[in-house]
Amino acid sequence: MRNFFAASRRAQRLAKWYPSTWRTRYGAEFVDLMEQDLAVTPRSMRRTFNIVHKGLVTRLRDVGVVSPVGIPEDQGQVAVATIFVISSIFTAIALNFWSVGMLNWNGYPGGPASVAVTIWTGVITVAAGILVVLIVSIFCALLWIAVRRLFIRKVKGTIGPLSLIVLLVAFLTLSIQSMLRYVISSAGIDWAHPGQAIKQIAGAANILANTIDWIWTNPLQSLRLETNIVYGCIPIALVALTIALAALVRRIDFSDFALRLVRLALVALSSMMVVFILGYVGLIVSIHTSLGYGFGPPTGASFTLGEFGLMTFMAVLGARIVVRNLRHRNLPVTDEL
Amino acid sequence: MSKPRGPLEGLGRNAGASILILSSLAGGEKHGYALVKDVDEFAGVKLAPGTLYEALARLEGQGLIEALDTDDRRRPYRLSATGVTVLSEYLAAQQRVISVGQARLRNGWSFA
Repeated sequence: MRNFFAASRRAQRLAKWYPSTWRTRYGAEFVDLMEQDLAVTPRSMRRTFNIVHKGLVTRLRDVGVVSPVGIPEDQGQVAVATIFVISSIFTAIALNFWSVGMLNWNGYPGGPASVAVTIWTGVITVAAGILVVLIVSIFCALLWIAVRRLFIRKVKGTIGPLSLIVLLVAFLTLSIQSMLRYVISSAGIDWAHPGQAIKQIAGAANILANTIDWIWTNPLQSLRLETNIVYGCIPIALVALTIALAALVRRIDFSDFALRLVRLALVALSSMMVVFILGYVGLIVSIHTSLGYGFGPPTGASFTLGEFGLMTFMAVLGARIVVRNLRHRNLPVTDEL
Repeated sequence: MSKPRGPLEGLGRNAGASILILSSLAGGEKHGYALVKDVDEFAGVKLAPGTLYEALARLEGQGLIEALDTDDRRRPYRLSATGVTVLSEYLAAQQRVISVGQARLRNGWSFA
């Protein structure tokens, strides 16, 4: 009997290599099979490797990185949640890169920037702008739909993520309120002259990004100040916010119409991530061509390549998920928004 | 223009496991462990649990097998009508290959 319980625990542990959506459907029968198999063959490296391998592949399938098999009941929502998390983190880093590009263009060494530099700076400005607008719109739309669903259907398990979202939005608003005041107030930004306004927004974004970067790269010096602890927590709060929204998205069954709209926005998001990466590469090349050297990195030199590599990886991943998801249109359909 | 694809063509390298499962279910409905034992007995292949459930999910998604309702943890599966047709066509095609291969071997196979 003791052996049976031990086998049962091992079987359940092995099942955890698979995502929860898979376990909901196949978990019980998989554990049953494993209990019987473990009774006959208690140890097998090949079997363990096979389960770990297939479990991880199923997890990748679950988020839409590889082709789905079987009955991906909530694959559409998983893809929505994943791309939203990826693109939000991407946008946060991209704003830092954009601010450096824009400030560099404004104070171009040796006179006005070349046509190529101006065009590429324009490309990343438009891409960053669209990314921000899309992220904010999708965030508001998903939250609105989720809250509405919550009140209509009283879906279980949504209170946690929803409360976390409210707390995080409150924290982010309070923590960057001084920066927001500066950006929003007419004294801080010259809204009458769009070019000047963009430059000032880039300056504000650059100050915020550099402050956060400095806190993270010099924790021993910076963490003595309470305000620095608050600023330092902004990236963590941003990541937590997107993950909380993703968790909410996965718990609620959206209507076919709502998911179609959101998916369209995600295609745009994914495209803009690729455009931003290409635009930034174009910008670096055009600066090298005209000056013979590049401009300073947006943050600490050691961070830059890693950050850009991460952004490129996220853009490729986002594009891959969108393409896979468009190929396999198995979305849950409900009767109302 | 892309070539028309049959239900088993999309299985790729998992086609082997899928055919073994379909062939096993052709003998009647079975749950996971019974499938593993049966395949081991008639084909000498030990299906690993991860491979088995990947193939089951794929076959179920393609409508070639059906999961039956049960209160037990052991959920039985059975061939669907489409599954019967697809398996028959696949085996008939394999049978033709086997017949041709065997006939050619009988009619003068030798080292070059």
